[in-house]
Amino acid sequence: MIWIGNFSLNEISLIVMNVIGYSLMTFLPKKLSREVAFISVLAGVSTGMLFDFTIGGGLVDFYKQNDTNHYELFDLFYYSLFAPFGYFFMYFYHVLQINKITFIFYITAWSLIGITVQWVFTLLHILTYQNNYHLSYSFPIFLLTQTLTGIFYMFITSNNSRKLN
Amino acid sequence: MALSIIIYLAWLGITILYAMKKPFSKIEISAIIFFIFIIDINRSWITNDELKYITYSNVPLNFSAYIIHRTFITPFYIVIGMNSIPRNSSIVMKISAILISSFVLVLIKIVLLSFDVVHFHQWNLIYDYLYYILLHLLGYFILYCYNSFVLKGAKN
Repeated sequence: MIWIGNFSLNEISLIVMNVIGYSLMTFLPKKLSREVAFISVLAGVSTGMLFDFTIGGGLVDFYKQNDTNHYELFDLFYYSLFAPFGYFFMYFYHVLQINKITFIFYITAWSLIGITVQWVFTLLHILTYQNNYHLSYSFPIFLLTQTLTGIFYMFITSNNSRKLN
Repeated sequence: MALSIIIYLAWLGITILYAMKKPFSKIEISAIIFFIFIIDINRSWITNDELKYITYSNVPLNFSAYIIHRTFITPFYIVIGMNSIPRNSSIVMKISAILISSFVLVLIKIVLLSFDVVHFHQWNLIYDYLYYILLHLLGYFILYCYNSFVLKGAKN
């Protein structure tokens, strides 16, 4: 474990992106209920961490976050970026009133946004691929995670009942 | 063998949660699962990958069992433990449920150890038991935060 490593472009970019992401979350009109906003943030962070700790570490270790393969302080800044993405996924799902047909376009669009953002992360040296990993491999992962998040959103907003059963 | 057992236990956890009578809402249950998952995945990275207190098998099938245990079994079994008693149970009932639920998780960890999915170095089952108790308490903590700040804020 190291604290910061080499403070350079990737660390500065993460600070700027966090400021932009959380500012947008704060200042955009509140459309989601507090309950859904709360769960969207947790869902975003969980989904991001699930894949980063599974394929970005361990036996497969397909990419390096920031300067090393070890846990760094700025890895937390990277993970905290998943919260605004989780929030905006559910925010626009609600604002655009996504239905069964538009779901297809919505998920495709978010997967393309995801792959673009990941490409930008590689340019900024926030992510460095290793072990023969390619950017295109992330597309099916985004497709799967966004689809599951969309289904999860429909599940939690499906009725007014507070109980699962 | 380990992978089959762990997949079955994960499936069992998910289906029990689906079938059981739950005192908590679906958003509360989701919040507990996500929060416990975030804490557990970071703890496992720090103790296993960074500090090497616990190491995991390099055999792909056993490693898959390790990942499934980390991803599904820990958060789902903790939320089942919390849902197994009524919402307004006495503190003694809650403590009993936490102790039993943590013991079940330790038994599952013994399965992982016996099939060489994980190896303890500077770690033991007592630490695991205490850690699982702490995870239950953190589950109640996120529930408290949700009800105190999110729901009460929504009513104001």
